[in-house]
Order: sequence, then C-alpha cells, then structure tokens
Amino acid sequence: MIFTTKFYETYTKVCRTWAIMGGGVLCLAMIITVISIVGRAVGIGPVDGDFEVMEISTAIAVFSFMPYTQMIRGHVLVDVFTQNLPRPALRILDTIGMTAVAIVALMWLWRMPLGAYDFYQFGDETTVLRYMRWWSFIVILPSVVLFAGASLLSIFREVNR
Amino acid sequence: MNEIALAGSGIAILLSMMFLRVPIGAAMALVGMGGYALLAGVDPLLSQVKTAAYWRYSSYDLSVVPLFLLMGQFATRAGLSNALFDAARGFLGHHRGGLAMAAVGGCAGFGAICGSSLATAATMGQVALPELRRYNYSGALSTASLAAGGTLGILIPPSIVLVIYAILVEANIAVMFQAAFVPGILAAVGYVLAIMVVVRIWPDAGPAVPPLPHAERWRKLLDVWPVLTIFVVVIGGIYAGIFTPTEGAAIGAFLTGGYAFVQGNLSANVLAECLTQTAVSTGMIFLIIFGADMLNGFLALTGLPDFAVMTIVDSGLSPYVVLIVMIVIFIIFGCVMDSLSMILLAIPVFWPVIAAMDFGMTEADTKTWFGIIALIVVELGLITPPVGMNIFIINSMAKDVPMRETFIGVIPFIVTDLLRVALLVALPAIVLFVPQLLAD
Repeated sequence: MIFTTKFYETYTKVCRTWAIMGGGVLCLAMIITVISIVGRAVGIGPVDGDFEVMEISTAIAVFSFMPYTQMIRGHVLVDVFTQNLPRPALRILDTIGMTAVAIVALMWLWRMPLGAYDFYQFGDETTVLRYMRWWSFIVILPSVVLFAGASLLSIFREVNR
Repeated sequence: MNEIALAGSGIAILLSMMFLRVPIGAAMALVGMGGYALLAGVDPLLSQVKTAAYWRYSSYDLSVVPLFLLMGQFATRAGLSNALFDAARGFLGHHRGGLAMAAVGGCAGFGAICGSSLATAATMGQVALPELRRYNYSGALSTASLAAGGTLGILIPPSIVLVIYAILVEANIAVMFQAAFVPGILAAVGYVLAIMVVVRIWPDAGPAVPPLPHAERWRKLLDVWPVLTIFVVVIGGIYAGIFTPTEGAAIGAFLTGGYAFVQGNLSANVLAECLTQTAVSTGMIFLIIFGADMLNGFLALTGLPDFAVMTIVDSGLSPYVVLIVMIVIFIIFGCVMDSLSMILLAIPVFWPVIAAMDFGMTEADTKTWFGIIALIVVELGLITPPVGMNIFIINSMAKDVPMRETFIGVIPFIVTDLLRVALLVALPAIVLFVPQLLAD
C-alpha cells in the first residue's frame, strides 16, 4: 500500500470541507438573488448583475463539488450486468472505470490552466459587473487539482482493494 | 455514411464501457473526446477542453439544479414530511388502504417542494413506513406505495430532469413546469386508484385505521401551511413569470432553509451535511452533463441526428409508431440506467426525429408534450427491476420485506403509469392546456 487508510480519510475530509465551502458560495449567490428579487418587488430595483453572480458562483461551486463526489464514489455507474462477477474481475473493471474518470480529470488539469490564461491574456470580463473571468480560476483550479488527486487516489484504492 | 459508422461504433463503445461499470459521465466524455479528435483533429479538441467545462458550469439555467437540490435537502430536514403525512392520514386513514394513500398524498405534497425522486422516497419512507407496518399493512403494499409515491418527487414540479430536458431542447423551463402539473396530479390519483384496487382484491393488505375527529383533521391540514406557502411562492412565481426558475429555486431554498432553521432543525452540522449531500448529487449530475456535452459535440459532427431524422422520415413510418418505439427504448434502458443519463443520451438524437414528424401540433407544443412523456417513462426505471433505485431505498428501510415482494407490489402502480402515458399520448391537451391557459 502506497497510501495509508488514514491518508484517504484525511484527503476525503479535505475534499468535504472544500465542497462545503463551495456550497457556501452557492448559498451566498442564493441570498444575493433573494435580495435582488425583494429589491425588485419593493421598488428599489434588483441587485446589479445578479444573474452574473449566480453564474460565477455556480461554476465555482460545481467544480468544488467534484473532488468529494469522486472520493466517496458518488459518480453513477451501471452495475446490473456485472453483479455476479467474481471480486478480482470487479476490481479490474473498477480500476478501468476509475482510470476513465482520471483521464477526464487530468485533461481538465492540463487544459484548464491554459483556458484561465487565455481569459487573463484577452481580459475576458462579464458584461454588467465587468468581473474578470480569470478571477474565478483562483478557486476553480485548486478544485481541479483536488479532483485530479482524488481520481488518481481512486485508482490506487481499486488496485489495492 | 462513413461518419455514421463512426457514430455507431462510438455508441457501441460507450454502451460497453457503461455496462462494464465505467462511471457514465466519464464514459460519455471519453467517447465524445475521442470521436471529436478523430473527426476534427486533436488540436481543436485540446483547445475546446480548455474552457468547455467552465462555460457549461457557468450556465444561468443550470444553476437551477444545485439550488433545487439544496432546497430538497433543506426540505428533508425541515420536519415537513411528518406534517404532510399526518394531514393526508387524517382525511384518508380510515378508509381501507388509507394509510398507503396517505403515503402517496404525502409524497405528492413533498414532491411539490422537492425536485428529486430519491429524496422524496427516502424522506416520506422514514415517516410513513413505520406507521404502515404498525397498522399491519402488508410489506408489499407499504414499500410499493412509497417507492411509487417517491416518483412524484420528480413528476410534480420542481423537477430536475425536466430542467435538463428543457436545456437540451431549448424549451422554456417555466412552460415545462406548467405542463408537468396536471400529469403530476394524475400520477398521484393513479397511484391512489391502484391502492384501492389492491385492497379490494386483498382486503388484509391495507386495513383501515381509527378515524380522527373532524376538528383534528383540519388542524393537521393547517400544519402543512409551510409546504403550501413555499410551493405557491416558488412554483406560482415561476408559472406567473414573476421570476425565473433560477430565482424561484433560490427563493425556495432560502425559504425552506429558513423554515428548517426557525424550527431548530438546522444546526451548523446539519447545514454542512445538507451542503455535502447537495455537493455529491450536483457533482454527479454535472460530470454527466459535461460528458453529454462532449458526446453530443462528437455526434453532431458525425451528422447522426440528421441521418436519423432523414432515415426515419423517409421510411414513412407513422409518427406514433416512432414515438412508441422511443417509449419502449426508454423503458428498456430505464431498467438499467438512471433517468438523467438516459435523457442526456437519448434526447439529442430522439428530439430532432420527433420534431421532424407531424403530430398535428406546433413544434413548441410537441416539445412540451414529448418532454412530459419522456419524463414519465424514464422515471418508470426507478421502480422497475433490476435497478429500481426507489425500491432499493425503501427496501433498505423495511428489512423484513423481501425485495421480490416489493417488485411484485409495485406492478399495479406501473400499470397506472403506463395507462397515464397512453392517455397523454392520445390526449396531448392534458399536458398543454395549463401552459396555454397561463400564456393568455
């Protein structure tokens, strides 16, 4: 075993905390949206750029959810056709499955920093708030790193199960 | 033609990967990326992946999904399920099979503030199952009525699957929610009828319980005011166009969370747990959405959707035959796959075909109607063997009821589902009249 059980547990805990923080961002956007609607209703007018706040927060939140979902094997798979396979065969299939997730995560890890750099270079910003799009990546990229780590750990976990 | 063959092989590889336990989202993403690289080249793929996920996850429409999931999480903790079941029980419990009907009624009420079937089944199951067993309801009737009732979570708006469908076919989410209302009520009525038939044939399956005094019934009914208020504000506001579905979801999550907090049911730990659960469901759904994006990018390049449209239109098949074949495909795949993956996989090919056929309606109406039918049919997968998720959830709570019994018990409910699909296919007006009424 390269990684101890303790290590998996700690990593999962870190991912959970990260996901809860992402959920907090979502809650903030929720509250801003509610304020905006109330403002509109009582005639003060909506919060400027409320749609953009929701979009930015959703992206940040969703990426922050990926590592934890991976660590607790939260991604759906079809298991009816393989229910009766012997354990070693299942282990091989699950290793392949986790590798598939890892390839996606590593593609993100490789390409998304470049995407962030493009946003930075071209100064992409949102229309109303003039929020620089690359700012989000300050928290999105750590999510992607954690996700890639989680997906690699999942492979080791299957190999050693 | 060559590209169609490539699309075909892609789909074959995808299905083999999926059936060999590769997580569905990853399987879709890999096949999509591989096919895209083959057709368009590696460089375009690499450049697309830079921001594809970012743009998809920054979608305003899709933010409805985590918000409704969060609202559902808050609803499961707010203690509303007890009030709903008690209210329904006050009015139905003294009839034969009444407690099972109350369970369905409770599910319908809970479904009105929760967009997820699994959460509805789990939450109402916790409340209703012990009561059903205490009054000697048969195992099969208890578990089956809750498993079937759980599907109301997604049939009655808000509904996450419907949001995804609307985004895929570029339909108006609010209109889809309007259209789902009557079919959702019909579903609940159908389940109650199924229970009536079952207890007529086997009177011992669902004994009547002592009636409550009338005053107490009304008092219990009053206790469901929070659910009613949240539903009227959220769904009413979306129906009336006062706010967007995303705003509705934000208000709904806020009100439900606020109510849970006021009731003392939302400690910091519980809030963290709600966020964690929301994170896992969202993470799962959004990986599949990313995979579906990649896959559909590839399939669009191969021209498969156009090819399917041309072949099927040229074949001169009746539109209804095509529709029924699609329904059968949904039912078969629903037995092994989750509803969301199925919608994301099938709709990009199925919808263009349906749109090209003449059902005697405008395209917008056909879109709404087909979406509701697809929703009902994919949800059937939750209560059919071998992987009915709702059955698994309820069965794990009722340890003394064998799984086989639940699967048998659920058959009458499936029959009402199929009858309802037939009814909606024959009479699209049932789906369309609410949106038309509200459009004027």
